[in-house]
Amino acid sequence: MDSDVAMNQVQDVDDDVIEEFDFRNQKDAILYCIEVSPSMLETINPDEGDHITEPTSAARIALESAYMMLQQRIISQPNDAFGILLFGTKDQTDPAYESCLMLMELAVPEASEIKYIKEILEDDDKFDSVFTPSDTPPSIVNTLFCANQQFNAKSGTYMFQRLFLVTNNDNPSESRPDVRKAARTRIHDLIGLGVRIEPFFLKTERQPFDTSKFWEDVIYSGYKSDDYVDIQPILITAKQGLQMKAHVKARQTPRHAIFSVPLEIVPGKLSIGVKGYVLFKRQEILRSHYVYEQEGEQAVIARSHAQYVSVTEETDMTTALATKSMKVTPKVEEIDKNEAKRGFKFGGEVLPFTPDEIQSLRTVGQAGIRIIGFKPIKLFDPSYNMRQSYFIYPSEEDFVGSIRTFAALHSSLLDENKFAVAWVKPTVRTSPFLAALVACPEILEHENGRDEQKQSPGIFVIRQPFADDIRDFPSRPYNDIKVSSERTD
Amino acid sequence: MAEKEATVIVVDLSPFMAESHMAAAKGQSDIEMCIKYICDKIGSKVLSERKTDVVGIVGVGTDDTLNRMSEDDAYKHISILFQIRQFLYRDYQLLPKKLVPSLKSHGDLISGLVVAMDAMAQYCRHLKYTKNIVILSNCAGPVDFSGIDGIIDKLAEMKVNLSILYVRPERRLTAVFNHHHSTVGADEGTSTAMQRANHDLLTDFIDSVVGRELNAVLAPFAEVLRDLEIPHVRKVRSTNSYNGTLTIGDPNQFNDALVIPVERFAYVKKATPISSVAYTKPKGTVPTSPTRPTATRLGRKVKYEITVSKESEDGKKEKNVQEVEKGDLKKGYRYGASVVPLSAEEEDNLRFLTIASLDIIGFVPFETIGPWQLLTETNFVIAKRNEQEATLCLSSLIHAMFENQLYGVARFVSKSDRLPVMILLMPFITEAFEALVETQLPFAEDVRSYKFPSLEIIRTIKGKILKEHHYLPTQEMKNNMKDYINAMDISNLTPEGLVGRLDDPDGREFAAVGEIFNPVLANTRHAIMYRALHPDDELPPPSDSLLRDTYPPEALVKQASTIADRLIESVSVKKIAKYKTNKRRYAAEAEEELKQESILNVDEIIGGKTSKDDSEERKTKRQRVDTTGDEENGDFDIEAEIEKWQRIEAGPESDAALPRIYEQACASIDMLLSDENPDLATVIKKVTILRSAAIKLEEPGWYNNYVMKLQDSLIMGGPANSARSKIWEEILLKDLGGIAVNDADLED
Repeated sequence: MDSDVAMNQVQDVDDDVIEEFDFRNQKDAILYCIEVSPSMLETINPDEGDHITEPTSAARIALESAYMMLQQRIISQPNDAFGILLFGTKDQTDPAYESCLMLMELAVPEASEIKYIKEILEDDDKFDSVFTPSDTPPSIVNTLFCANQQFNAKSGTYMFQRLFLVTNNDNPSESRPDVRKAARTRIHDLIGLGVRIEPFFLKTERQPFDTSKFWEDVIYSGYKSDDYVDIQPILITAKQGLQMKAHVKARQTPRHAIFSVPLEIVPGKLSIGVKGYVLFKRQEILRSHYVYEQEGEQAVIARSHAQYVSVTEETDMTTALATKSMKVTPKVEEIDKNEAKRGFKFGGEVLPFTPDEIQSLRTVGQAGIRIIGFKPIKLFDPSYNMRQSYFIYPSEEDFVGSIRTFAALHSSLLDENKFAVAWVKPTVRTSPFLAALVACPEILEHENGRDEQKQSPGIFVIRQPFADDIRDFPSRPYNDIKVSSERTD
Repeated sequence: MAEKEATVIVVDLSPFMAESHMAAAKGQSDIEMCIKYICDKIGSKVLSERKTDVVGIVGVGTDDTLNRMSEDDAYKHISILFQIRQFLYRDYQLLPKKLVPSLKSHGDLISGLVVAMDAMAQYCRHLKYTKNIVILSNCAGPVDFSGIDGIIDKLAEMKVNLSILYVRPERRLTAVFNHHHSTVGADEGTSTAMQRANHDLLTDFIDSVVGRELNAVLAPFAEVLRDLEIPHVRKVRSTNSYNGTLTIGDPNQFNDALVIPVERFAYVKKATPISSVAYTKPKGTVPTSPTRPTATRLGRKVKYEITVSKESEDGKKEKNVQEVEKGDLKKGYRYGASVVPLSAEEEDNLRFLTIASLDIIGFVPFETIGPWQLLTETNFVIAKRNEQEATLCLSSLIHAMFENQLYGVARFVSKSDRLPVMILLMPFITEAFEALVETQLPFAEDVRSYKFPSLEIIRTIKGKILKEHHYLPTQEMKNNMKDYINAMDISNLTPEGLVGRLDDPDGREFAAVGEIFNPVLANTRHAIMYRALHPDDELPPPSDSLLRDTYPPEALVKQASTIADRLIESVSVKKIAKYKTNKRRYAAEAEEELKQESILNVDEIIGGKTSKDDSEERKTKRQRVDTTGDEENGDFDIEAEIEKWQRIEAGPESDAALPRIYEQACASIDMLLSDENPDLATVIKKVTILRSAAIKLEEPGWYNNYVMKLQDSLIMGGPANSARSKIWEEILLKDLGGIAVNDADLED
């Protein structure tokens, strides 16, 4: 087929689009702030006898983590903005912000900028010249204000804005109470701007980090009580560089709900508010683009836009008769968007349907999750899996008491070994489906002196197939061949 | 390749068919019910667009006679209404017009069957076809069974599947309980002596046909109509998606590596609804011939354009959009803001080369894999068909895994040069079928490790752990929930729809997987067929019967109601009145609402009218106050305002009115903000009142809900709207952010 004109490529909105829509075009912004101070630069030597690990420093590990993240994101989410801000440096980018060095402006990164970061990491002299601490300790208030300006300049263009704050200073206010108050205000400002703050507090064996001195008060003051901010310090050793990277990676994707619906527990009488998240999602290689390259100029991406065309096959009857072969010349005609109508094929014709009619056929009922009943978990069959699950967690936004009711449902499902069968329609524009609601417990693991949450508590919504989706068993000639149990031992 | 199929429908069109003999049909005539059936059956065939699924219709009792044996008197008033062919739209839409009972003519059903067989034989000749003949009649007229033995011989020779759908003569009530209908019914209404006699003869006829090892059914029409409610499932003949080996260990390296030839077939695969297409009506008046469709389907042509920035002579940068040919384009990838072009050759070099394979890497206990970690639709992995040894070998693996409660984890490449995936292999054993069921597992980067707070404890700011809190359920709530979960167990329901004993043989699982049909598929299908027959009518509402099992069973809900009420009381969930916050969409609406409900004057309720000069003065005052950092505001009497709110609350209609007044108050702020230069002082004042009122009224959610949306609307404007973000800054500065329910309580 001629690849220029693709017939029947006009597809309807599929119900799987719900995540695609949310994730593909989102623009995310991360500003990575690293403190530069003599203690951040202090050499951390590997354990005795460990000859493979090289000596490093907290600041270096932080920059390596940022670089790793940058490398990953630039492939998988090239529309995202990324910035690196060093604070406490001798140099400064703008005299208004003392000791703040923008290593990389908050923007969609250029290849040259990424190369620059790589050079810093590879060249010790370069690293030392950039990471030179200032004579006086940096002002955290000033740094937060500088960060605010970075976000503010392009506020509104990002869907998620986050500030990764890497420091080992557990009390930047020293004994001045006004610093604490001002820092709280700055945090409020940032949160008000829609920036989420993700602290990475570093401690070493010699230098502990006490979050209660300053940060708990400052960070938590800006957050809603049902939000989760991990402020537990991370232990840094020469080997634990990887550990830090794992933490950065874990927080790579911003947590955000893709739907928010009522969960009906008692029909017509008891509903609570829940939000849905996607915890498992294939990271696909970002599709390639068509680019246009001209001599001596930078390649640019060619935007594509589709145009409706009608293809009429005009047959020249006279020649056809003469040569006994049909010579078909397709006549391609561009059609105005407004002239194109939609319908369904039916026996050689297209039956007209209005866009509203097509939409209403696809979207049956109200958005929500309706529990139909409960069943023992042993009746749940994983071989009916359809797609990746959704994770639901309560929200008090629409129903006061949602969290406690959800928690009661969660613990009861686990205690009674049951799951709920539900009818699920995540958003107004998606088709409903049957699902199993399976509770999973919170799993904590104690490692490196802190409780790590390995699994958050909540309920997974696992889509189940309709009768239409289940295929017959493939036929086989040797259906009767089976092993007796003795032979498997 | 699907099998070829030919179906001939013999429909009784004698005058009796215009009568109504079925109670279930609710006064509709027998022919109307038949048409329903025919339209549904043939409609599916039209939709499938299969050229090899052909249909013909023979009418019995037509005024004319149109068949090859028309000279013979026995074949009078029998017409082939539609020759056997692939049905298209133009045939389909004629169905109701052609299937009209005669006013006077009668024909013989068995002769109709002979005509159908003749047409079938003529069409199919010696070719391999699945042949179906369906007879639809109320059997109210005489039927001539003479010479039936010869007909049966012929049927057997042709291997015809015969169905006779009729109106059951005797009156009787039967209790029917099957998966889809728990109703008691099947009253076939009144019948005549003739119908009863015919019924006995038909039964004998069918019995002798079955005796010849043919498929034949005699089905009462009421049951057939109920079956129509059950959607069709389009059977898909699956083809294998992997044909290779399953290995444990590398056979190139180890002699004792296990190699089993296997194939892979889809098990669960989402059936997609029919897609709509784009089309256009031809311009002007094109003479429509019956063979020429009236609409032209549209394709898509993709055009490419680039933006070129050029520096003009006066040094200004200009941006031009320029169309480019596809042939001049290269493939490339984005790397942040940079573009990296790759030639086809370079891309080939980057390709990850793989060889199709399925290698089991190891085994894990069942409980280590949460079902929520599975990513994709499932497939069967079975031993290569026709290979006896492989079947035995795989069977032992399946049983060994099952008995040891182990899943297999494997690396899988379905076709060479595709990317490898990690899969889970689950042993699947039924009486008649064994397989490994395969589904994909996530890679490390596919897992988003979002964290959510514990549901069992609350960690306070100071690190204290709380076990009692209004976010945490009490033991009473938990007990009530457990009782409710057990009361609403639908795994084994009695025929009455109540929780049955575990060993109850009549029990059935409600809403079991595979019993609920996709309403979207069925709706779309119905809508298309409806539109084909009624092009100018609005679509009928979707059928309820499809969604019946997506609600909790009524009897069970009723029985569990006291337990449910106890649960509801203990958890005491309150809905928060939602303020319509999507400003752009609702602004006009809200304004309209305000106008209509002017009885409740918001300005009067909160703070009265502020004159322009007054607020101007306040503004300057406020700015002065700001610089000193003093947060006191003695400008207006908040207490008095709150009192007003409380008065309203104490009023007779407080429950209903209060949320509405609150919403209106919020809307009044939005209206203030819709000004180009909103008056900061008034806004702040109103927000302050709203917040204090929410606290006093113990409805923090009202305010939090509003202030969140307010934040969005204020800061989403971008840098161009710095005046608005200033308002937000001011709101934060005045500590007017969300009311932290939790924090307030914890301080106590």
